[in-house]
Amino acid sequence: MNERTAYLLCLLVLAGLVFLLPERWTAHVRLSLLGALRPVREATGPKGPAPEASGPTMAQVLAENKLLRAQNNELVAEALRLRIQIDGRKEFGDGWIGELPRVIVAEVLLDRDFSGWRRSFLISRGSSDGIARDNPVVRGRCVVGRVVEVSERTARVLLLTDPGFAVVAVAVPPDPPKEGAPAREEGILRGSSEDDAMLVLSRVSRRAAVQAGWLVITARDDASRWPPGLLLGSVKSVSEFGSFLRVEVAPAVDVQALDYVMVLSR
Amino acid sequence: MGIFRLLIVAVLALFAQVALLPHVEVRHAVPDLLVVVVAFAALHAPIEAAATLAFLVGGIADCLSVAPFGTHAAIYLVAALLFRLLRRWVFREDLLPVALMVGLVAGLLCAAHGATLAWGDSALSAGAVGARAAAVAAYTALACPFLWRPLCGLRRSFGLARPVAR
Repeated sequence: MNERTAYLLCLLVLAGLVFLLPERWTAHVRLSLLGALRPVREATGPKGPAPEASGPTMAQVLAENKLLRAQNNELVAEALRLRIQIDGRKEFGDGWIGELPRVIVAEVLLDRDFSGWRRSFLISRGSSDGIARDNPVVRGRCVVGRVVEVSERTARVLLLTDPGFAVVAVAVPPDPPKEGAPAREEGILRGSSEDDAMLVLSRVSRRAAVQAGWLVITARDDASRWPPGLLLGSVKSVSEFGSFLRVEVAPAVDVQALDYVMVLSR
Repeated sequence: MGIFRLLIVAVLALFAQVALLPHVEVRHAVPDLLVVVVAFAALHAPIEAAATLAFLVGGIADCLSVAPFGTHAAIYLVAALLFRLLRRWVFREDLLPVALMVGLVAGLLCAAHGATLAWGDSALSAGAVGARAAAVAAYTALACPFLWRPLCGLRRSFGLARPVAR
């Protein structure tokens, strides 16, 4: 075996060994590296006031005026963004039964996953802000995904459209059911890489009465401890699939068009 | 030193792929620019340097994905070795066979990655994996010349002016 072959073999073995590293190590490494994006985002935000000039000339006053206009525009945009976030929180809180979880508002730093098969994004809050693994991520009362990796300053959210996403869900009719009519059908909601705008509710019995237009919400699940009643989507179509039904669900929120999200921390 | 410059080009291609190419995706497929850079390295540079570059740039791609750490590092390392094996059938200055080979390998890697996901209890079907892989292969083959030509033009600055002996 010559040196070149030995080197390539070592590299292949190293590539194999990387898979064996514990997930919490690898998650920490990659999120810590990406944590550099947060200061960049903060630095590109609204700037502080300009230093005071002594004995300003007309040109300086005009320049300062121009700067203040720009700052004012930025502040108006910032106020509008915060107003939208406050409205989102209010929408989330309205009609909530029981104690509200702690809501952490986070900006989306990177809205794409490198892999064409996976769906995830990076947010600007981490464990130092109270975010933990498996926390639900929502926008208003609509589920966006769940936290899968956390570092001190950033976290990665697995979107509900990712094929690895799964949550216990129930389909319920949009209007109160008539007496004797089925009121809920339980199943497991999964994402799919086939179509960004489609989720699949599986393990639904063939005898179930699910119809297009029904709403799909999170179910009470002691394992995940997710709050029940969060909106996942609405039923698009129903077809038979072996001894079960295949229920296609349209997500309630366009997960690729989000600039901020809310993390529900316990 | 030249291979470090090529690594910088690979990292730029990676960020372009994440930030720009999703805007021109066709049927959820985007061209795999990284495969083009890895192919260029594997065909022009010594195999140790090309394999190391592929492994490193794959590792950086792993930081930008929720896929298990090491997935892309392994994928691009295998790609570099595949290109090296296919080298004798490709004349490196002729764009058509290069584009076809790069597209084929990009499609194979995409299918392999998708198959690992479809293997589990996923809503992803084998037909969807095949269709996406074919789209990625075709799109990468079409995009390949636009990156390959500038890379060939910069070959001297990468220290790769002399062809590698077979």
